[in-house]
Amino acid sequence: MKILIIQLTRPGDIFCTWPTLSAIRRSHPSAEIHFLVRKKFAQAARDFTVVDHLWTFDSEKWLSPLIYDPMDTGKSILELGKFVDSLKAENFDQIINLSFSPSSSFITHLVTSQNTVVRGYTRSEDFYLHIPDEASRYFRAQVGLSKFNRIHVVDLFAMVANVSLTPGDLTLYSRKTQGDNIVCHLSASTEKKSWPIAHWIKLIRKLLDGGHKVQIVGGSGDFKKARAIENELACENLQDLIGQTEFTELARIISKAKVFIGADSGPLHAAALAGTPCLNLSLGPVKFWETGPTVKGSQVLVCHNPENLKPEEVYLTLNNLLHGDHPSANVRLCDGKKLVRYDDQGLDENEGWCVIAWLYFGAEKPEVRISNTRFISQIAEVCQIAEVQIEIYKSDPSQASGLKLLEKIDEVLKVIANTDRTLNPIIEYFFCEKENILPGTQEEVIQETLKCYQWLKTTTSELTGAQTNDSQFLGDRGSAQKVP
Amino acid sequence: MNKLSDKLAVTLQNMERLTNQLRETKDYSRQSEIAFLLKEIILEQVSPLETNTENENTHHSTHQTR
Repeated sequence: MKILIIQLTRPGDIFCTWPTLSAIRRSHPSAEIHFLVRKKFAQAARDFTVVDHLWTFDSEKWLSPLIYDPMDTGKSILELGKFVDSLKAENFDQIINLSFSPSSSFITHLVTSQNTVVRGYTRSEDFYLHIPDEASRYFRAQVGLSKFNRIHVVDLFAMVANVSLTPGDLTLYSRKTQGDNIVCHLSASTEKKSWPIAHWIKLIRKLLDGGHKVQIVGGSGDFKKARAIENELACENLQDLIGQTEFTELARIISKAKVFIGADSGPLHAAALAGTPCLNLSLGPVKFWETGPTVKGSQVLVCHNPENLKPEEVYLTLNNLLHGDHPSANVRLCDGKKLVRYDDQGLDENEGWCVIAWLYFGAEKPEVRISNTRFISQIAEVCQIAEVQIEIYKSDPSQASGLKLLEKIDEVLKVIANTDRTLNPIIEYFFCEKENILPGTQEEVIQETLKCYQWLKTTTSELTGAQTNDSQFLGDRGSAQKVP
Repeated sequence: MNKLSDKLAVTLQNMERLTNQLRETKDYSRQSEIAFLLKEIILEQVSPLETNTENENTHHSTHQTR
């Protein structure tokens, strides 16, 4: 059996894919596992021992004929075609696309053979997005900014791959030789997710004054920060490893550390695979419950504005973590459970998650407020208009112009989704199912569209009614209760 | 650097014209799909994920709807 797993995002996501790869290997001990990553991030997968064949996707190779004169689009298409052909020649039994991008969906479709089972984003025969599995449709509808998912990406990847994780799957690097260093990773993929250097200097000074040994790590882009720290704090207990470590070496250094401190980044996820306790500085728009450390006992300090997270608070939290003391109220604690790895109390986006839990996981129906009922009435009204227009068209196809109203109705629904946190997950589910209608005759597509509007009206009205919902997540599409 | 991104922006416009044309003519060949893929690769380069504030795997790119 040949399985291809596609992960075309950054190192953090590559590390978050390891548990799924490990679980796939447990489920299919004799399978040939292929893994596709971007060439520039392939280092992150070097220690993935369960992978039999590491493929690299080299965007620069396909782009270079477009950059140099004379521009040669045909050559780009030819070279790209050779690459997808070489992948397709493997004739994979299964493809699991754990990227959620348009490019990865086209690659998935292009390398799919007649008998390949696909999970994750792909394309229909007319090149529109197609999402064959329920878990990836959940991702599409409920994960991301302005969405209310609480499930960690490590678990989401496993759900897409349809495997169950064990605690052992979350470990890649051994921690047999634990040292007494504190590893500080100074940056993240964007400035908005990074902690100011002045704060780092204050924190590291406190750590050194407290007798700790500190290693600072980061990429070559962090040399300036390293110099600032060295200028202020150079001493034998401070080791500057900035720009000196590739991913695998960095992972080994982190695996020997007493604790890892850093923002949402690749090294944070490497620390998780080493079982190193983390103090995660969750800054900017990051959702720690989706991408925070997965090591039990790790702690997260959340602050939208990096400037406002004070070194004193980080130092205090670190001391509590090191001494096993109860964390302060503003600290999020990873409790080691699967799926929802962080306690959701105190989060201000709980309403949306409660609806998701009801819609997908069979939780109790959430309570609705008066403001919700007003929107629910409006949803019923616009769905009614959609149904009428569709019925008119079905009885007389020359009346197709009325279908243009559907675009306006969807605009109204988007406004409601952006305004009402309770109704947002239901409307997002509706859009995802509507987007995922398969190609067919216009009449078939219209009929499926009608079912989507009918489902939306029924489901939102259920919120105000007395019915209970017993839907189960991950049912196959044919038996999905919500969208017939 | 700007020259490079300008060049890619022009290429992207050309690729958008090409893919729109392929969709209009309902050319669903393998060659055509590779052109769609190339357009997406250029798009990623023009607005790289690195500059997005969101986790790139939870960043939802726009997918054209049927």
